[in-house]
Amino acid sequence: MTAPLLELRTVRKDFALGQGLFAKRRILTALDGIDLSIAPGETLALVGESGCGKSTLGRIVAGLMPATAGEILFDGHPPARGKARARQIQIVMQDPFGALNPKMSVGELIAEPALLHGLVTRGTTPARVAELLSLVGLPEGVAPRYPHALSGGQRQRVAIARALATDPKLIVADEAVSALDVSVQAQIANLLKDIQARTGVSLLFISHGLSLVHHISDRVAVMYLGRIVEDGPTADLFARPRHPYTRALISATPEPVPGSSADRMHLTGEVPSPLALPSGCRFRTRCPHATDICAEVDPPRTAEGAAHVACHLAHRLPAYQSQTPEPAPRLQQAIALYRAAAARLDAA
Amino acid sequence: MKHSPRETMIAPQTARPEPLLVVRGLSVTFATDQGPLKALDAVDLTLAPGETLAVVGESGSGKSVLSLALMGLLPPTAKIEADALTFDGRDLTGLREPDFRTLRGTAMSMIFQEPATALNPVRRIGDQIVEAIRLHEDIPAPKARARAIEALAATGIPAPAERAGAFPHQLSGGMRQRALIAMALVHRPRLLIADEPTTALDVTVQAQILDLIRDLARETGTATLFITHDMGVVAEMADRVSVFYAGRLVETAPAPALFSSPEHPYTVGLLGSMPQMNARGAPMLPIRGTVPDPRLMPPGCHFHPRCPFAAGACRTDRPALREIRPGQASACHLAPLIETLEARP
Repeated sequence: MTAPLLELRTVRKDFALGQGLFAKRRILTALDGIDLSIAPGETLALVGESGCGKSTLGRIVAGLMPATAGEILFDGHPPARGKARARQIQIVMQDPFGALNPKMSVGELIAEPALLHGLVTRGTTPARVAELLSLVGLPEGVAPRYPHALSGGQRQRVAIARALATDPKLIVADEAVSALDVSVQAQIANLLKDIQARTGVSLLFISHGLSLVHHISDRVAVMYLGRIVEDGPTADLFARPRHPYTRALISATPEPVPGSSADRMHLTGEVPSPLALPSGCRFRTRCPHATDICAEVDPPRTAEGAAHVACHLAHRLPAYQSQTPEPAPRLQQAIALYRAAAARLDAA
Repeated sequence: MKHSPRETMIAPQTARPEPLLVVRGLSVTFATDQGPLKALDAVDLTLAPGETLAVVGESGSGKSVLSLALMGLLPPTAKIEADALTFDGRDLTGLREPDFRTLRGTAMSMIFQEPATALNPVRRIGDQIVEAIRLHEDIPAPKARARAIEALAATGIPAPAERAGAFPHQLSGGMRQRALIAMALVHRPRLLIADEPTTALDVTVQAQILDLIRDLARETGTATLFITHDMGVVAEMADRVSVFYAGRLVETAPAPALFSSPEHPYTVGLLGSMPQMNARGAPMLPIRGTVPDPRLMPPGCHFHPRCPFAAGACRTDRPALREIRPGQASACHLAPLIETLEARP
């Protein structure tokens, strides 16, 4: 195995709440005992529902906030601070409109990071902007335009071009495609994979949805209430999910085949408040399999081949039946014709 | 009145109940600084009692304008034209606002993507439902309160009597959506319009809310117009599906037919761009290009600049909605797609 590009060891993040004069001070632990690594050129997906801590983790990795405890290693060393870190690790957020200065043209927006880091001179800037625009599939003609004149997909391409401007080794994509139309999501997902193939950049792909994660990631880490409950190679994790929460997430994702939801696994209730964590396993209040030990002992994270799982019952759960149905033959035929015709047009 | 080109009307199916909602040739135009903007362009729709029709489309498709038009909630600047727009046998086109308000509260109601903005932040949940009840029904407050708590209980809210005393911000997104559903169904409406009601929710909570909407609609016999961009949600909820693109209806079909044999290239593209339809690790199949600017709609078929199959007539003539199979109609010159494409040299 190659040395990891990024390694997190027992990372913890606390937020202090109620710091007002009379308010009681309380601590919210957003991340607890996070172990994680990303290899060079790898795509690691971080999935989980709102409040699980996935975005906090992304921000810590990108250097936008410090961890409370634990160790972070980048290329085997504690990561640089400030500008030097930003050069190596870039972040792309969900809302490209909020991330782009509306008063700057696309050309200026893309040139800015490279100028800031002293990677280009006034003379070489136009060539670099042209290169980055072509890397993200935008025509050179958009350089003088402003963000408001672009579509959501084009704005996200500009945000990605900005992230690429410093030749980073890692890009944190925090729900980077979630706000886009489905047909445009596919464009941006292709773009990220294409850039990765060309530049060898690693991706930390943070998402609340599983479908795209299944398609584009090499490994997946599933988070619940500040913990990683399961992680492993993508194909294996989707074929044989070991944690009941992973199973529930996969099962709750609507499939585009009518009638496929009939035997869906149901989770009752909602995620508990991180200020009132359940004893023992954090998932036990919603887990259909929970027993006495789950309320008493916090399950340790144990290795299962290349995967890890934190569940007392991982070996006692009923065998997992994948419910992913096959699309109808005529639909597959229509999609194949569509793909072939689109490829002919792209080639022309 | 302008008529949309229509070669064959979809044959009315026998032994079907009178439709609850009939929309024919509905167009909505907004006046903007840059000229008129046609958000809906001669669309058709029918909905039977108790039926769930999914309206699918991406941004700019006109699907949300449609729901606002049906609810009489469009701003006065919007120009509405229709060959027919009837609900429960009543003509909605000339309906005045006070009558519309009564209709909205009782016979049709709506739930939205973000329940937080649909609820009053400074009033307790229970009080808001009591108010909704007493606005249209003359019953004493304690009785209305009991009904409100019953309605909350029916949506699966734990400890409904206590939750009735909560303010919206004290509830989670899922609980707020349940409260809004309770309020929407309190008068047992004949039509529920659900506009992306689960888009803002987590996937495990989405599954709960979808089940809830389906079960309550079945129990009360309410017809549902379910507006969404998610084909997975469509497969789960819909009896029939209408696909919108750039202000036009491009395909309508019973859900099983749409998913087994789509007859409009845009429908094929939408399904093909879902990760589930693409082999793992292979490039995904996106729809090329972007949605056109509504002020600069292309001539002919609105989808032709992005359609990989577009040819001759697609660029000049608006395709009529034609029935391809019983109950399934497509507005594509090339439908039936597979037969036409395989016959091409």
